[in-house]
Amino acid sequence: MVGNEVVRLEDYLAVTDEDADRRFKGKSVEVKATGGSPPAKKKRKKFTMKKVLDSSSFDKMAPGKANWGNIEVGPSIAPKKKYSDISGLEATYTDPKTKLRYATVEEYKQLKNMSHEVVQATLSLRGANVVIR
Amino acid sequence: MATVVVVDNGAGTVKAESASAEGPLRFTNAAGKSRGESFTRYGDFSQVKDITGLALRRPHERGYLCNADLEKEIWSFIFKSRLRISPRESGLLVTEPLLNLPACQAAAEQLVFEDFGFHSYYACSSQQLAARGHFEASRGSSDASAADTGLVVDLGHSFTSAVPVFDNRVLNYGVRRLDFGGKAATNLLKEVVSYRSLNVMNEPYIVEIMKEDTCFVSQDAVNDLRAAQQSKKSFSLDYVLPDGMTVFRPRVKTEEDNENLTKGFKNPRHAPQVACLTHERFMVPEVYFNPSDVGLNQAGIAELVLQSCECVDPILQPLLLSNVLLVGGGSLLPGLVDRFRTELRKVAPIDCPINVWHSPERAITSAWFGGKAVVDSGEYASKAMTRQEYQEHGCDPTRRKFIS
Repeated sequence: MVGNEVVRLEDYLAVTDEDADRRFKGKSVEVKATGGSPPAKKKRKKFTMKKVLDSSSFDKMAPGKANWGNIEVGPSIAPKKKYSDISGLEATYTDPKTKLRYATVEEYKQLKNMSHEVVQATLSLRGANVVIR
Repeated sequence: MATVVVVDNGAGTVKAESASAEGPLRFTNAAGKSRGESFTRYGDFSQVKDITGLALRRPHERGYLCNADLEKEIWSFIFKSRLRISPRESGLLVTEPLLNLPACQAAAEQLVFEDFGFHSYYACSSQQLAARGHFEASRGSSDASAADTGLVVDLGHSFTSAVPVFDNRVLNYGVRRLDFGGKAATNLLKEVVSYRSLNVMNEPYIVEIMKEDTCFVSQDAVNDLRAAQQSKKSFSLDYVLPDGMTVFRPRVKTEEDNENLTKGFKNPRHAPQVACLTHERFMVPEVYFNPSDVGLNQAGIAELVLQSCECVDPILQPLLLSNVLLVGGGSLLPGLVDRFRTELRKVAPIDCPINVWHSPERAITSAWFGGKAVVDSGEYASKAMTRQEYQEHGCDPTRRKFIS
């Protein structure tokens, strides 16, 4: 070899793609341009989806046009199921006095013994308590 | 003509092959390093010996490409050692999510032209291509759709979407998205199994396989729940988890396992762990139909279709409802298609005939075949942007070509 000629090992050894992969496993494989000078590389910006969505300001876009923010499906129009405030089972009954929902006789007995504060606290779990202003 | 590579770049799996091939190859769109291996694997985890504790890093977030550096590594692996193509001499047709965000578009274009240096590039939504693939496959047969019109329901990795397609074009204003997909289902199953039987919170990969093996959609969830409550046997299933010593892949417990699993272990507690699954097998996929079960204030997939139909011209509605196409990995859940049919029949207008097309072989690869059709018909050549155009004008002006 004369001077400072660069000799690629691959030119001398029959290196197949597989061999190359084995050798460079786990390292990034750069696909380089073969002719001409490669275009100047822009630095890649890192971003997370949260950042992109926060900065997109969908509410300022044209309302008639579809965008990421307004294609979300709406809530179901089927009537909502009612669940007991005490056990979480599907409730068939509502106590007319306290407006608590209950499923069985035992639960009714239990809610008869509840104080006003407890009733209001239970109702507030589903946002149905009476707020006095 | 130069070769064109068709890549259906889903958040869950990549389906890639050059357009002249018969069918695509499938890769997981993720990178991961397993225990006992000194290198990171990309795209293919079938050769990993010890999959316990394998955590995958994915370049997509909520269905959108965010981590282009990671995607570059995965694509390099696919293009270089699996497809064996040279990017400089080929074109690329790649799928992108609907209504892609400008930041993600720019990242994808930079990846395609500056990192790989592809000759030309065309991006298209996977749902549009899936519809195209379906129309092409059914052309000439009795279930061919008139005017290439249909409604694609894509049960994807990150979300579920309903997309009306008319004359091979997406009607953007009719697209609706439900924020529940395969990933959320896996996470839900992970939580439920961890709470009820074994802690698998650090095993997302195993739980994903578990979901594919054991989950199904019940035709009548309330009655099945009652049956599961009354007799423990009706839906219960034992699932063997790998320990990296005797069991390498998770599987449903068989008759043989009953005898062999604890053999050779002095202390039976050291034998491979077994998770017992019961009604979570069908209550997890049930969220597709009742998202309010997990506190998601959105409608289920049947109403999703209806809401999407209501946004388009009323004349189109019957046409769309008679051509509903189910695609995506979620549609492979046993029983989902039948349940979807009954649920949709319940909510759709009574005078509309309903047809739901679904083919288990094509559910995942349909978009790739659509991409192949785009290339074969010569449409790719007229719509793709070339590297020269990108370098001269940048991405925004050249992108207009895609819409024409």
